[in-house]
Order: sequence, then C-alpha cells, then structure tokens
Amino acid sequence: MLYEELLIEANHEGLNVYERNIGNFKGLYVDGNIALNHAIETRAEKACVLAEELGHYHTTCGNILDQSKAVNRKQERRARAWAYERLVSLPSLIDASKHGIRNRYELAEFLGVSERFIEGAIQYYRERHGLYREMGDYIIYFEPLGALKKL
Amino acid sequence: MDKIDSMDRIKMTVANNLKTYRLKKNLTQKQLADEINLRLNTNLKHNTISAWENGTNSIDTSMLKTICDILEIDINTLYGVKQMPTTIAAHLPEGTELTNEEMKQVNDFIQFIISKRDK
Repeated sequence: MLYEELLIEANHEGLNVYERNIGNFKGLYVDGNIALNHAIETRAEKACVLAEELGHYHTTCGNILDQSKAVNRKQERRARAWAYERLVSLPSLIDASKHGIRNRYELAEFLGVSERFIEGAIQYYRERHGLYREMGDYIIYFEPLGALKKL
Repeated sequence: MDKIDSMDRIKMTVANNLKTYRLKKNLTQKQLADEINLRLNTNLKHNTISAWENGTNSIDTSMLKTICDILEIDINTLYGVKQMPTTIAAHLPEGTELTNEEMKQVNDFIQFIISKRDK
C-alpha cells in the first residue's frame, strides 16, 4: 500500500523508478531516476528505500557518492530526514497512539515500514527535538516512545 | 597525428548523427536541404547533405544551429557528446566506501539512464 502510494508520488514528480539488480545497493538515485534493488523482499523495506531516494530528489544536489566527505554525508542525512518525516511523521505517531500502538514492532506494522526505519526515525527526532515534542493537544515522547494527551 | 585522428573521429560522428537524426525525422536529403534553404535563404542541393553525411565535407558552422533546430536535437547530441548526470546518490548498508564492483554497478545504472535518455 505505502509502496504503491510512493510509486504514484514519484510518478507525479516525473521520476522513473526501476527495480533492477544493483548488487549491494538498496537504492540508487541518478538525476530523477531511481533504481531499487529487485532483491528487496518486503514491501515495507521497498517503501523505506524508495522514500530515501525521493528524499534525494527533493534535497540532494551534486554527486555525493564519496561519503568520506562531510558535505556529502550531510546531504545523505538530509535525504534520510526527508524520508523519516514523510513516512514516520509526528502526526502519524499521535495517530498510532490513538490506535493503541505500544511498541516499535507494532508501530512498524501500523505505518508499513521496517523496524530498522522506525529506529532511525526515532533517533532522528531525538537528535532534532530532544526527549519529547509538543504538538497540538499531545506530547510525543521519543524515549520511551509514546504520545500522551495533555491534561 | 593523434590530433588528426580525433578530428576525423568527430567528423565521422557528426556525419553519422546527421544521417541518423534526419532519418528519425523522416526527412529525405532533399527535404532537409529545402528546409535549410527556406530558413536561411541559402541554395543547398541534396548532394550537399549527402557530402556532409559521407564526411567528405563538413557542415558550415553558420548553419549548425538551424540544422539542429530542424532535427530537434541540440548541438551536443549532433556531436555525440554524452552529458553526464549531475546528481548521484547511492545507498549502501551504512557509510562504507564504494568498492570497484560497486562503482561498476553505479556506472551500469548511469549508462542505462543515458541510453534511455537518448532514445
């Protein structure tokens, strides 16, 4: 579901998505063209990789293959942050809490992403916002994970 | 010597591409000559085009732009210049450096993109 949704989104942006054999890579981005490794098994994982490549489309400029350079690592992080905000948004965390989601495993299933991606997203939010973040009537806690309605 | 070789190669590339893209537009040599004449007020015959495509003569530089416009290609395409992609990113399992094999995978994908783009 999520994977198909992202494919449609990519299509609207005029991007080409190819599932092919790309060796050790999970995904590649080249000027509006995305390659996803055809060996990725779950749709959840595919969605996560596709979201990161979409993140490159929205945020990356230049050849950033050389990750030993700090500027390139920064662009890589920015693309990943885009993916986290897109697939594990703060409102979606509140929504998950309303549905009684209690742990990362359930959250991954609820949002249709991999558990590893959830872990990355939580870490990203912690680095960005600290231990919690207020949003509307809710306080979203990142450690332990949960959203509580303000009293 | 090398320089002359490379000049010959460029000439042949341009000659071949002129023919390829003319045929793609479904134009005869005469039709192409007529179209150039119409736009530039020149007086070319079909055998001028033929000489360009055989590589016996070179396209007059003052006509280059018009010819590209007629064939709906840019000058780089006529000269066979492949434009390399500008934005490239790869996802490896955590910030490792690329091996030669991985570099080859990236290049394969780039070549694949370029071949799609040129169609």
